[in-house]
Amino acid sequence: MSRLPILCDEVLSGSAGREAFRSRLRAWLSENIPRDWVSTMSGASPARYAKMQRDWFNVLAQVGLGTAHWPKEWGGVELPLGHQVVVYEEMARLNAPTLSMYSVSLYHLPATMFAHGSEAQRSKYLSGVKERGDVWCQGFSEPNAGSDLASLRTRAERKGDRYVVNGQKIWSSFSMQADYCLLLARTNPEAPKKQAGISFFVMDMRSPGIQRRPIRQATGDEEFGALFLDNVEIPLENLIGAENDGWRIAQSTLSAERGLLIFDMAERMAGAIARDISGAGALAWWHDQELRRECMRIYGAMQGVRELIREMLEQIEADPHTVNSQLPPIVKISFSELLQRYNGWRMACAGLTSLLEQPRILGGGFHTGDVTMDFLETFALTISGGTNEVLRNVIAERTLGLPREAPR
Amino acid sequence: MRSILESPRARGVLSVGYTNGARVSESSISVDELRSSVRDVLRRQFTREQRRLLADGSPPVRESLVSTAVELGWFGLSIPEHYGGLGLDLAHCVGLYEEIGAALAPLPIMTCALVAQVILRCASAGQKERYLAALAAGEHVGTLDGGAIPNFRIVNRRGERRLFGQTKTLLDGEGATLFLLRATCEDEQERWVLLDARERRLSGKSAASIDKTRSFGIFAADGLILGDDEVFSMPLTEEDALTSHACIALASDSIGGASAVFEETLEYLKTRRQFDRPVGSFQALKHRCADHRIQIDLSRALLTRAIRHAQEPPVLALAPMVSLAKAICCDAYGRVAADCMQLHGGVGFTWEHPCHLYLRRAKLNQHLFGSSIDCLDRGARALTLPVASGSPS
Repeated sequence: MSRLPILCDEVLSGSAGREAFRSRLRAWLSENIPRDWVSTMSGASPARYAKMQRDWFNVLAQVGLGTAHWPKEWGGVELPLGHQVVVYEEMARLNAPTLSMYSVSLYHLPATMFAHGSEAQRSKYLSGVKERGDVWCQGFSEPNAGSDLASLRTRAERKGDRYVVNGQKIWSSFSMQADYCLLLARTNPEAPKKQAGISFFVMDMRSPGIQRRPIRQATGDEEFGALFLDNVEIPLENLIGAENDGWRIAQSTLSAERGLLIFDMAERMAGAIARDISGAGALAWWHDQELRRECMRIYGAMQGVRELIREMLEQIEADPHTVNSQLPPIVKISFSELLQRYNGWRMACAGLTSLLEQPRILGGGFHTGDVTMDFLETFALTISGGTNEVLRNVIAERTLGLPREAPR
Repeated sequence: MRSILESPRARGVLSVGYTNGARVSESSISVDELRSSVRDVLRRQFTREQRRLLADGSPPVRESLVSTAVELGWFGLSIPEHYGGLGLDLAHCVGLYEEIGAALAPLPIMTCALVAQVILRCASAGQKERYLAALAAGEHVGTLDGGAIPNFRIVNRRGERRLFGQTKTLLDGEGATLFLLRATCEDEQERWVLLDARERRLSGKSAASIDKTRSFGIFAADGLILGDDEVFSMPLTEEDALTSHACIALASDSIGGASAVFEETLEYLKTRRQFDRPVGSFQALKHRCADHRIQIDLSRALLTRAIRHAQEPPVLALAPMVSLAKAICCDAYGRVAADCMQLHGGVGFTWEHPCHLYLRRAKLNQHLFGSSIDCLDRGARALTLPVASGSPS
């Protein structure tokens, strides 16, 4: 396969190290980021957005950047974490599109497969991502199993050489576009603990009996959806790991991206606030002392959050299999709430005109310039990935050692 | 460990230090070693009971603690070796200040360090020789105004420079022998005035602070004639460095204090029982505790980043970061200490319990060397001055 000079051994192992890598990457990105992607995504349909995601994935995959962090055995280059950080820094700096549609394909799927998949499963599904750009979604949450995920009720019954699945999944990002789904379903309803009766499956999204329905979000976007599963047949070979071991396997899935995505978001926010400040003197908010001081509080707190993310990445770099880090929930709460506060501040600065409806820029993240939508979008972070309330319980109990409330 | 990001962390290992509470030269000491050494000494020499006595104004505790600190070289931590100090860097100062803040130790080390910094950067060679070693050895105790505005003026009369003005807020003024004052001259420029109170037979009074661990000095001058080497100017960049040291010291003290009072509160919540369960199991309290932990971690991370900026060129870029760190860390201390009092219930509201001592110290930290509002405004000015800050990043 063709690899451009940025990912050749000479650059990756050379004494010039990360800075040589950075300068080559920067040069390549500046020529290959779709120039007008922001304007073409303005008012775009979900289908056009999905096409932009596929095109961008293909451009990256052609030079090996799509799956660069994967092991060599599976077509990656085992890009060290420090270099991955550089990739995200440079992408943030040049406002490259975020590969949101491929998050599960690039992080959650491999994290699950490397730890728990069979040789045959790895070969089939990882190459599917790498060669064809398969899109994966996650079938975890259910209408009555959100924060309390272990109480999920979607049922998988073994019948001969297959499982038959019935139930409903919700909040599944890119389920409308997905080729496959990482599915949690209950195989043993009689298990003594609710966590013990759950299994982990690969579900082919073309299987009969799957009905997909988009869910319209507060922003008006339809990034996630619901899955209605009616006697969906899943072959035995699609069970990941052992039957009823799904809860443990799901922990690998959920710890997959290990801070890089939040690092990316924080760098983009840092760029946005630096742009706010560099043009500040001429702007009305700078002369409003309340708004200016709030900006300074946000700017200072942002530097603290960036430092915490850096510490978290350093912990992961030092011990890639670390499970004892106390930082992830602290980082997630502090960043998501700061981003929300920042976009709230930007709305206050913009005033009445920020409430004029504008064409939605799909994939523009939290910095489209449409500050009201950017603000609404931040709730995707404070609610998903463990609500900030559940994570506060995690900090209180695991980090601070406060007693549990009542049996949960 | 090599950092995965741009630059190495501030983690110096230097050539002079001390271990096990003994002054040791020609060995190296890391920040962590310094920190644990300070903690051990304070735990032994400044017990909970002594802390309580201090609240009632019992001076012997303070005097013995000061002499121990002098012996161990803490007063000379940031003074160059050439002048009898240890010449350690900012990261070490942070370690010392955090431990002092955590223990609520009544040691005027920051104040003396600030006076020493001004002398080091701006005074004559003779004054450096005279006062720096004396400050490191505890033979002189320095004081300067805790406010941000000059409250003295210098007037030329018949070829003599005379000092007018008064202050009630000389920090750690009780027993101080070296007064560093800020004065405005007739040319509207500010100057430093350094007065050796013993030599000049000046008498200052002291006033109690609501923060029982510190005191204020009162000093008035009505036409005091100033000698040539008692007045010196301070270039803007040097003033910046001084402000930065103060900001970093107060931010460190606040992080240490907030961590200590929070730890104590957690222990209480785990053991205090009501409704047949530990009160710490109630989610309404847990979420507040989680928030305090986040605020403390965020404060420490911000300070770490500010220090790293301070040690990398261009050094001037540190001004906005340390000012914001001071505002954010001290405000976090104020909030955490206040809520820790609330989380303790009635016990936290008693004189016996140290909660109020932390809250009092937090409040003074918030106001010293510029309020949080001042610091935010200073940060804003510095961030938009291209010369002073480079581009924000």
